[in-house]
Amino acid sequence: MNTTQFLLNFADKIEQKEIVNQSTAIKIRSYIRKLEDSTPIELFLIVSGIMGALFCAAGIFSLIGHNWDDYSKTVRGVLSILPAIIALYFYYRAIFHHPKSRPWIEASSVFLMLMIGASIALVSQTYQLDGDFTKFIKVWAVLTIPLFYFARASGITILYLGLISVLVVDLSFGWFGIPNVRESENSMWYWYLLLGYLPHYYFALKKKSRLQSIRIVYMSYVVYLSLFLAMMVTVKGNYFLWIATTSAAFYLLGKRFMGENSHIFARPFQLFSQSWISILLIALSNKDSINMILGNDSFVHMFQLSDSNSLYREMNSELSSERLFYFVLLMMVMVGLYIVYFLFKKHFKDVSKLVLFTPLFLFFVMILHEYLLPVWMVVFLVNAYVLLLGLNALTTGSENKNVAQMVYGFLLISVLLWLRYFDTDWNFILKGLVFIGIGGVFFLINLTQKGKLERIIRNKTRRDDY
Amino acid sequence: MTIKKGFFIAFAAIIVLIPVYVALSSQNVLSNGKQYKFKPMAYDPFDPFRGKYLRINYETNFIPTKFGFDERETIYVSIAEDEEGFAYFEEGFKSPPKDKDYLETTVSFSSGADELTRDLERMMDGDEDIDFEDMDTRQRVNIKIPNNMNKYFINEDDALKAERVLEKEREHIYIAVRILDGEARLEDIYVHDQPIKKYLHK
Repeated sequence: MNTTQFLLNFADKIEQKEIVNQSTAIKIRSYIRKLEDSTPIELFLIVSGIMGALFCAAGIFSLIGHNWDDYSKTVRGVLSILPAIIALYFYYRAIFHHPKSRPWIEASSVFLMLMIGASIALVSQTYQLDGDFTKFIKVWAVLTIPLFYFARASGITILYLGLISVLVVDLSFGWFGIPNVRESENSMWYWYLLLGYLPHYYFALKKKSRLQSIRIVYMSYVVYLSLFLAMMVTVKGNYFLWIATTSAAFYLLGKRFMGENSHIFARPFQLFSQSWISILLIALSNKDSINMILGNDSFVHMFQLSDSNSLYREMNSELSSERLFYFVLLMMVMVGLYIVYFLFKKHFKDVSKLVLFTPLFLFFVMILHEYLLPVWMVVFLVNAYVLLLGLNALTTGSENKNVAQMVYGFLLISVLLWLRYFDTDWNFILKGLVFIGIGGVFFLINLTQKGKLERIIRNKTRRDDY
Repeated sequence: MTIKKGFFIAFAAIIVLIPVYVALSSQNVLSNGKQYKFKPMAYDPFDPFRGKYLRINYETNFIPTKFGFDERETIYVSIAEDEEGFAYFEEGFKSPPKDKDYLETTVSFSSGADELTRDLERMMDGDEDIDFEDMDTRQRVNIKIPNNMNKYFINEDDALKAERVLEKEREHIYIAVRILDGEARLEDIYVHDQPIKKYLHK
């Protein structure tokens, strides 16, 4: 028995026992019915509808794969529009006869998108068109865009963004099958087609809320992953700063629109951006890794004449117009990010300044590392930053009763402790004393916070009913 | 009729018209294009959307051209026939040649003016038979196989048999390609002057 049925039975029972009168019982029952949430069953219907459409489409592709070349080219040419026409019929039924049914709309959109591809595949098989694969994808993707706007179907997001991501990546296999990923010649098309999709995402967003539906959460995952892949192959140089800046931007977006989603997995932008920022900072927290990373990936080398023996550094210090373009773009994104933050500060709640200003911090770390400070001081700064980040997550997690955030803070500090214990080349006595000192600080924090726990326990046992 | 319905009809028409357009334009090349016979090399891979196919390779190396080409640059190659009636890629141009059938493709490798170098070396070695007037000063380029020529989609039950036939009967096979206004359509594979499908089922 589900909860609603249980509560309705309970309302019947208290009416029979005359604990409430008939009119109150009616009110209670109508209130219980109103509260029943239809989201889970609707979601189930959407998912099963999409699965049905996907399996049927896969079956149709397989039937096409058989190649019915006993029939003449003309017959097969005419038959090639059949998949699109059948799918158009179902789509027509969905948007004009069941416009309010999300399962109908989502399933028929997936089916139509795949059948557009099936029709093109069938005609090209009939006429032996090996064709240009990217052209096929471009036509398919352009024909899919209207589906996002006719009935606001979102289920096809993963298929669409997956399809257009093929345009940005050029995957080839080199010696011993080692995959080689680089930017494709058609990469501009990826950005145009992404622009065709983004308004759909924007329309689906509840602009005034910080709580978003599962639909936006799903789309956010797909958009983030697709965009990350595209940027990874497109951007040239300054990867650390790029990842930090885009992560900070996504963090801000996530806080603004999904900050109140209850679970961390329902806040994809925050999940990804905070993970990235932690990984970047941890990677920079060791003397050797900081020298290697900033030696190869720091923007300061772009403006220096090469005086190093490192071939890699020499290659990366070339001020090519492409690298300069991406550096200027990076600066514009970073400045834009902080302008947006300071102009609309009141819209962004609970933003961790440490996460938000990581790109700026890294920017200065690069300059300090190259010109002003000895390496050990830069390493100390980065370690202090990570420690602060971890402590901040622990304390705010505790204040907001957010277990995931506390676990994140705890993990970050643990990893830092673990790494520094093994890689710090200090005298054992000094290392021991510093570690005991930091441990002591944690105990002090414990002492200051323990009063809260005692108060809560005291309140639980307090009797107010006499 | 509502605006939404109007948009839907326009959208549906585009979806249907694209395959129809491709079919009609292909049919036009197959009916009105000139037929050329090419000598092939082939094997049978698999396309996830369109099933089994025989991949056909052609002689695409050392195409002479008077122009300088970079890698990946677009090139127009004219088609000619030898004494036995087999077609080959004759010469590369920067723009479509007016009086010959041609195909558009891209340059995969530019090998330079090899024959000219050879001739000059022979001249320097004292070979006096070389006439300066007759020297081939053209460059040589390798090209990518033009679109719509290197995949022959075939019924799944016939694919393996066809591959074996192509291996065994290599000397008696040619590929019929129709070419019209720079567009190519692979018409059929002929084995002993019979379409491959007919040959397999005889």
